[in-house]
Amino acid sequence: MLLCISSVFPVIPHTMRMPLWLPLLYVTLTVWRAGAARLQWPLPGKNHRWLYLLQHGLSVIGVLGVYFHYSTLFGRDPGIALLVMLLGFKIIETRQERDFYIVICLGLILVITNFFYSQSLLTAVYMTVAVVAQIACLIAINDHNRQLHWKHKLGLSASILLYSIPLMLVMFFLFPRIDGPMWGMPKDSHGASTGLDDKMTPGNISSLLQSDDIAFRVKFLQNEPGLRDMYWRGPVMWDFDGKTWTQNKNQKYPRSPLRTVRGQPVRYEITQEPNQRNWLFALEMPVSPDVGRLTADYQLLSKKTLQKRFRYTLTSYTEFSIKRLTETERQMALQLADGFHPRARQLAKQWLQQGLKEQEVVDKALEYFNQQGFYYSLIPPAVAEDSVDQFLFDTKTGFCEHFSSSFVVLMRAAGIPARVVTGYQGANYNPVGEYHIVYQRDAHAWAEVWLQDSGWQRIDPTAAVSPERILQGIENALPDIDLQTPFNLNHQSVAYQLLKSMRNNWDAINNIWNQWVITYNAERQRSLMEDLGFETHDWKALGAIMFIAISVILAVLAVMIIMKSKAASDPITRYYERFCDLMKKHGTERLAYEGPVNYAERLMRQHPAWSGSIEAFIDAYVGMRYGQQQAEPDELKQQFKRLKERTLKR
Amino acid sequence: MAASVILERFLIPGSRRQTSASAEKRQRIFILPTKHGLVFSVMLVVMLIGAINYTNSLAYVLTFLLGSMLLAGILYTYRNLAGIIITYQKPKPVFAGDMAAFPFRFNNESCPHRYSLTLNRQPYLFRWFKRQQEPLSDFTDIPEDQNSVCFFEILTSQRGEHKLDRLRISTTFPLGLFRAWSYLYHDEPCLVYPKPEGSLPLPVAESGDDVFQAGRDEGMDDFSDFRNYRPGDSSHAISWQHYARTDTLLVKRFTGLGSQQYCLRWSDTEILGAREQRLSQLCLWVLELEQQGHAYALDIPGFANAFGQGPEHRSECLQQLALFPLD
Repeated sequence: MLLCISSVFPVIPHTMRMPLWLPLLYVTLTVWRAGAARLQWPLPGKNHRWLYLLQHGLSVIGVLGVYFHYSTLFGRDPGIALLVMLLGFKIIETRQERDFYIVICLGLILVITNFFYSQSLLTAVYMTVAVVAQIACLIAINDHNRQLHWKHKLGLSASILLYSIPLMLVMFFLFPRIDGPMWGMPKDSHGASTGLDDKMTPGNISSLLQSDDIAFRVKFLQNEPGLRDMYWRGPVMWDFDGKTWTQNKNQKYPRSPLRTVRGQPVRYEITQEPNQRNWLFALEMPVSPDVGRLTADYQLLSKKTLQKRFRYTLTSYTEFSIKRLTETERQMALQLADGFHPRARQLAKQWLQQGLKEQEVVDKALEYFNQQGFYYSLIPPAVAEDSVDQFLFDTKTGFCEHFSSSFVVLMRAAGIPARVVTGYQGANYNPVGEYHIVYQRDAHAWAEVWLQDSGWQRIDPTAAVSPERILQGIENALPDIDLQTPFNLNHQSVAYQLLKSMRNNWDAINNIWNQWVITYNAERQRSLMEDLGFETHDWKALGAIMFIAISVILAVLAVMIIMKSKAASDPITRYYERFCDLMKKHGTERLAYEGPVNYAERLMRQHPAWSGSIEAFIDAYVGMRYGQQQAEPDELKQQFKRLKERTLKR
Repeated sequence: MAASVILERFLIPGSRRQTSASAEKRQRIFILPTKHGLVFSVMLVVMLIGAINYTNSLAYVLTFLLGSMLLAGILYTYRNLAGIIITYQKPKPVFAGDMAAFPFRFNNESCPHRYSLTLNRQPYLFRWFKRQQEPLSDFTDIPEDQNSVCFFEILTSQRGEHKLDRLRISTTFPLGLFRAWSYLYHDEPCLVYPKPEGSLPLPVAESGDDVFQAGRDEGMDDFSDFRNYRPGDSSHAISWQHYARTDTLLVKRFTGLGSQQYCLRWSDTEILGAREQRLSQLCLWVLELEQQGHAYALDIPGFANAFGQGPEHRSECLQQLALFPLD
């Protein structure tokens, strides 16, 4: 019993997010306890006072250690660390039955804490195993005579939990969900973020290239656009100090909705991964979003930072025009840093001197990129003081940050208001679930210029050099050495394709998991209720359904569990029992102490007409049950049938 | 007559198959959470609050799973107890100071394996917060489809007829979060004989040497003849050789050469004074005489019997001593 419990616990805290010494300490304590159970190691007790000292000393050191590592004893992470320590020392102190119960309860709480870090499918499966083991320990405590082999304990535990699943599903879907926390949450509730930054410097976005992280998933509900139109708008950068692009605070005010649009609306649903910011990524350009608000530069922001996966539906138009430009905005969009990029300014002036108009300047710039031997590549050239000039005239090799940045500088130098837009471009289709995935490595930077007659226009200078990037996605644009794949496989190889399809399948499963389990919140519940035909906010109906469902399930469970108690009896005995019942119906009940032969004799005396059949049956039964006769249930069945017919003849 | 009791057989299949002739009373089973069950529930509430607060779906899942496991646990614990047929069997008489064992026969036919059932005393004026005053008896398990007998022992100190007070049969298997129990009222009293002690010598034998009467008195000294076995005869006297040959039971007859007869009178113990001591002395005499093979008769206020020997006679005498009215 003791060993069963002790050895199960290390399974649960797979909290590798702790300072290493803590899980080690925990495992040591557990092993100590297991050793005490099996190998008679000493435990702190009356005989070993010094072990008490050791135990308390270690616990004090442990608490101090937690404090120093986290700089506090409060909050989620240090709280969990303390819990692990508490559990570890409690394991050493288990003596009575109730101590074991406490250990199990603490263990279950530890399982739940794991979910605050990860809710993935894998975690769920792993924790299920842990919970089964814990419940098996509960069973072990109550199996006082050690009748059950540990395999049976686990089996019983698994079957109990299996029977609990239907009720759990009912409660999971019907239990009223409340939005958001009931009180303030500690600041460190959620982990660090990756992804786009609110600044852009060369090297920013290319650093995301190695990332396999998912930015968001998209399901197109209507009018899926082509890859070339899939620009997902993120932060817009106005200010450039020569090195870094940053957003402009003045653009944060909300914008009136977009009115000039053409063509077909695209409707889509995005499930976005948490990014610790309040950015929402919409397809350019969204109209009247009902979630979040649009800034003046058309970035979609949500009210709160996204700390967990968030799903929202939007409508966008890929053909749009934005014709408004205030004077302040114009100034902002023309601002260049003093003393930087003289050569670029020179080039722009040259074009102006040639008498080119706005659109022609734009075209000229794109032509410059296309024909002057530019390369789209990850390999970072040495960072120089003036990245724009160096890129435009020396290295001519760079990534989207370089292209967009230099392009906007050129435009500004030529007097055309321009700005850098960052976000994501393209998407990867997953045929298994029929949705698209946008990874962090699809991050992109492009430009927008203001032209007199058409307003803000999107210009993507990267397309001038590497159209594959826009049309086919990042994987197909960069040569192999730049883009790392697992095990450094060739993109085109079969193995890679296989890996990719496996990944797609896995992601599809994961997506369902996300949609139905993890992001099941109040809003989803309401829509589910509506689908089922109930009004929203009808708590009474919800409560009633839940109550009824629970009762029904409990009733079914009761029947299943209790009726399952029938021990499997062999057919021979069953026929005998039916025989006794039959005879009882005709007035002669078998007495408790009567064996089959005596009973048969009595029967034959009372019902002489059936003697032959009775005797035949009893002979067969006794022979099969107690004698050497081969057990042939069919034969017995026949005898029984014959007897029954005779009794009915009466 | 041993009474049988059947614990609630709700939904247990096979309940039609009662072939026992004795009347069976159905008895209720009670279920309540144990202390650990309450703690577990509190833990679940805490988990639920955590899940709501952090809006963590998997936390909800685990909380609800454990909650429904709690409810399912009720059913399992109930099943572990329900359906047993318990028969109160007659306990064997003991001497005062010995442990009296009250047999309970559990009939577990066509029922599943039961684990960790326990019996403990529960006198009527039992207060809830003072529970577990009596240590629990050992736990028994009853394999499926089998019968087993379980003994509940109590220490006797006084002679007489002792009935077991109310017992509780309970189980917390499998989860330990609920306890299902029922009450058992064992109605077969245990006869407790007085403790045999005393140092008085035996009274004088009644008859002297002219006791030898062939065929009439049956002592244990000389082998004389055979007669048919009568139920109650000592099995030491059975002639097994005859049985092996002819399949009939015969008892050897002895006639004692000087089989003596003793009359044990109440007045013989007058010196001792106290009633209990006198009874103890008489008891001791009866045992000694029986062991030595003499005939004896008991003569006490309210009862007198003829001379006799053998287990039945001994039991009769001892019973009378045990049931002698108290002061």
